[in-house]
Amino acid sequence: MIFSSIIFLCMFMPIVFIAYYLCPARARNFLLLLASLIFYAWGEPGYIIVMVSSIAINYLAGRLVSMYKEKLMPVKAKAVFIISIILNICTLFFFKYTDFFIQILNNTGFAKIPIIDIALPIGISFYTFQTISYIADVYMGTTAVQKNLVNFAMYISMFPQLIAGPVVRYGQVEKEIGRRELSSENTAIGIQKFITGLGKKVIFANQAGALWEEISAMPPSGNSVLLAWLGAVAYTFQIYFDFSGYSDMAVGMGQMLGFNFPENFNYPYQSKSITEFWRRWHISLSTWFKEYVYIPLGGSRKGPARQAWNLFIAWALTGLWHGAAWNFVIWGIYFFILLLIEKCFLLKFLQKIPKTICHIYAMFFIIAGWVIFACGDIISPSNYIKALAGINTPFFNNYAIYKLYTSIFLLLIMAAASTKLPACILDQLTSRLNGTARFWIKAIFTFIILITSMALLISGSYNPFLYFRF
Amino acid sequence: MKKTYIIYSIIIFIILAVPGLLVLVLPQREYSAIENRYLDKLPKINTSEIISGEFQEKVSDAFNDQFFIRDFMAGLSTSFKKSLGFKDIGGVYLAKDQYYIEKIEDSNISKDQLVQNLKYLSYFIEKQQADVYTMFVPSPGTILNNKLPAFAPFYNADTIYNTASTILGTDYITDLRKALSPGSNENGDFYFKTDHHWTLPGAYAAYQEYCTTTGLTAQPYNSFNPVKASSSFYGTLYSKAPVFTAKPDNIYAIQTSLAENAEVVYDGKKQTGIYNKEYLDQKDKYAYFFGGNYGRVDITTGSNADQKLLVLKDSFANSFVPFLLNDYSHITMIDARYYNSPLLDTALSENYNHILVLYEASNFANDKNLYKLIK
Repeated sequence: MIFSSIIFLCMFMPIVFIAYYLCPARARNFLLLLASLIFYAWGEPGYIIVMVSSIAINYLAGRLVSMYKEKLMPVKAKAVFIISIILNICTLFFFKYTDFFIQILNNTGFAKIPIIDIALPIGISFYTFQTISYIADVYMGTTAVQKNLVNFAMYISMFPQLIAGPVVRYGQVEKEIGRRELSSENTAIGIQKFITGLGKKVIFANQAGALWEEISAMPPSGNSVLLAWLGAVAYTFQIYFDFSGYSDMAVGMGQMLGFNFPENFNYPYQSKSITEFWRRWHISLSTWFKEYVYIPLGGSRKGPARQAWNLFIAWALTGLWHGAAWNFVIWGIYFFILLLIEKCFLLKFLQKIPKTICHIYAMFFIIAGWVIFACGDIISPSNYIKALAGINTPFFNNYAIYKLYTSIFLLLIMAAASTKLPACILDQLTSRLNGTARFWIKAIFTFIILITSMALLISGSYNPFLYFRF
Repeated sequence: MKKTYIIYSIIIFIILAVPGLLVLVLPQREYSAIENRYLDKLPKINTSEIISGEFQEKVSDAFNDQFFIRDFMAGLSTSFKKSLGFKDIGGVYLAKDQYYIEKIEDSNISKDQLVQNLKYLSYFIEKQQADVYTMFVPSPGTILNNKLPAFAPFYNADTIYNTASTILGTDYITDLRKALSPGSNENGDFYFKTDHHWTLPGAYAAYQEYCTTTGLTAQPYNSFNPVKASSSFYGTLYSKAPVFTAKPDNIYAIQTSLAENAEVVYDGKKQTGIYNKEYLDQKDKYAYFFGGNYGRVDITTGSNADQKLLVLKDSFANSFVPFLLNDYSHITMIDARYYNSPLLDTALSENYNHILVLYEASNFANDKNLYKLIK
């Protein structure tokens, strides 16, 4: 089931949340587990087995690791830890990367292995990262073992962040899994957060996505530099509003349930360097790679050469995490190179020049990065890149002018909406009002967003799901 | 504040839950006239479909289709996109003067299919004893290009006409573009604003051209006694992008004794008169003319003329053929999409004097059924 659907909004959500509020506190985790399993099985009835096995294995591994540690048997603890990490990675690898590597082998010419062509269980990249973080934290002793199977299963399968993040590490919600307070304030603010996210996805991302889809399907003969850049900008907005919209919906629902999930996006398109961008974009994922790949590899503690290598590994894997295709690996390495250059000298230089130029610099490389990211969706990536660069392509054509003036209003709204500006304006305008009045003004916005989003969903407007590859 | 939060939360949950509940409680809608399609309904529980996920998909689709104010929400959605500045929605341009114009780009015209179709037609023409005339109705966007949004892409109609002239030779083609180029005249607009078809005045302009080509005498428009059959026609293009401000079209139809008394046989089903009044109460009011799409329609006109006409056509012919009732004793209309007998045989064996091939230009280019012409 996806959040941006009528069945979720008008059936699943009201039933689950009303039941949750009426249910006694001690049964809530069980209810949430049940709801999450139904949520997952709705779209992936077969793959529920994969998730349930993952829960069982990691629960057991956690218990064993902590038991051996208590009994001062570090070798056994380490063995269980390593085996469970390998199992987690192998599961993810099997479903996500087998065909990718079979094709690499086949391309070398020495092998002719038929591809297995299996669908990726939705959300596996997210919940596998959560199980790995749990086992690693238990092994490192930074978190206590979860002895209650229902609680553990609920943590892994929790529907708000199951399919598109954020990656909630166990330690971040450990206390709330055991005991969390519900308040009418958290419910109301959570609802507002959820609706904001829904609007980002349905009102912004889907419209930008439709624009991108049309332009990316353009035959090279009909393309122009202006059109190609318009497409790239549209995709830039689509991916941000889609992804951050999903995260907002997850965080909002988490808050409605009494959790405090970490924020996943912090106005990334306001960034003035690539380094800053990655502090603001998909924060939970970059943090995960930092904590569980970069730092264990030695981080910056073993000299600059080793540090560069560690960064390279972390970024190549970050790229690969986004999908089993070369363009994602290249996309990761692209950011590795940019980050390395910034680390070496560029950041110091950027601090001396006007902020606007820094912003343009950052946005240029961010947008170019998204073109690499989207290569798999473009009919002819090489021609598209030529069009962006103006090679054998006119600067503009009628089609570009048409698309520009019919979408400029949307693009400007999205540009403003991807910054802090709207929130600041709203705060300014309502600063003299009391708390209740301010709340109702926001509430009216959420009513409009909700009804508009439902209208767009019902009318069958373009509504893609971007996370089937993650 | 606590009370505020609670009231707000309850309102939101009502907005979410009530429509969901209504889907389950209200009787299921079978058909959407506005969208001209059958709606998805809640499926029966079926274990194997649940395991495959098909059941869940059907339920999800049904929740969209059975939403209690679905038509209103569709209008809201289009109006919202329009207010964002979008000029084409759902494959339709929101053109000037409240025209809806189907968006057909160069990439939507299959050059290969066009050449193939013309070759079929060329072969067909060669085999015939009868005089064959070909008329392509210009796409509305070709004629009303000044109504299209500025810089809006639209396919170049020259492609179709030039290719056709090359393959068929100019003798066999009647170019209607000039006759229809004013877009309207004292009789009225040539194209509907909410539908992709031409209007009666549009069809009449083509009738005049047809008469010039074939040597028939064109009768004045008013001699056909055109009357308003409906003033509440929301056509197929409106359905693709319903905006609240759209105004309905009028449908005019000629009222002559021949039109009312002709013997018409639709795929074997007999009827008197060429009009089907029941469609005027439905969404698809254009089907008033000859009841919509049939594979074969035979009209015994009751005219004193002694000529027989075969029309190979798409739906544009339905409002055009009424003008010819007086000029032929028998008219056969064949729509290749729904006709499954050998077309070449039919045309040869039934002794027609004239054969008219009448298609909207882009329809002809993309039709996948014209191989039937050589069978």
